[in-house]
Amino acid sequence: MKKSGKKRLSRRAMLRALRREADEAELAHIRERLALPMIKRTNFMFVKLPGGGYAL
Amino acid sequence: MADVLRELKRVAAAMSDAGLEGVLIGNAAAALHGAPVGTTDLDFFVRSGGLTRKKILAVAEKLSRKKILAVSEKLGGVAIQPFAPVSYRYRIEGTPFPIDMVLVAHGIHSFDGLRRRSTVLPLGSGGRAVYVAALQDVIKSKRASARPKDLAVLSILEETLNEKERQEKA
Repeated sequence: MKKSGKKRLSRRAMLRALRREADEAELAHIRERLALPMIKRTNFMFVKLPGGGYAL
Repeated sequence: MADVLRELKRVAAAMSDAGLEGVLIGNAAAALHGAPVGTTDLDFFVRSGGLTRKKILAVAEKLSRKKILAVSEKLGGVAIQPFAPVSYRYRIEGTPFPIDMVLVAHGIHSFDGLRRRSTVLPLGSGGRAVYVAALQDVIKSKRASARPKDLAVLSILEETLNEKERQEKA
């Protein structure tokens, strides 16, 4: 069977990439919110549901 | 979706009518400053004085659908002090979201200082507005409180503050 030319990443490298991706996504989320005026940043309340749990 | 703006307007109107001065603190304030966090209640740091309790009850009576829930004394309204006398927190229930009025909070030493550093959020026509505590003050309070749920959001609040300052400088 022909081997693929791709080098397999180590677990540590994969976790590092995952962490970086999560950090970048978080920063992008913050930037999106900062781009809005304060009056539009109001979707932050969780409401308790009668059967238990929360919903936005 | 929960209508936060409508509720904030109602709270601002009730507080103004009762002569109760307050500043929005906690995760709600942080979220209004752009932090991607959520919360289940609205927390207000209120100016402490001789009539504070009476004013809080007046606000509660105006806002709440429930009728009697006053705990320590039968004063009517729905403001309860679940942890009295060890806590200075009044909780207003019977509203779309619970509203907490606190007279003492970790890391906040003066009402005037907190309000001076806050941002005024106008709530449309009628001249109502809400004071939203500065993100620095929210971070300071959460760090001083050091409860696990406060520490859990600290890094995201700090990142928001850093990004905000970066954008202001740029």
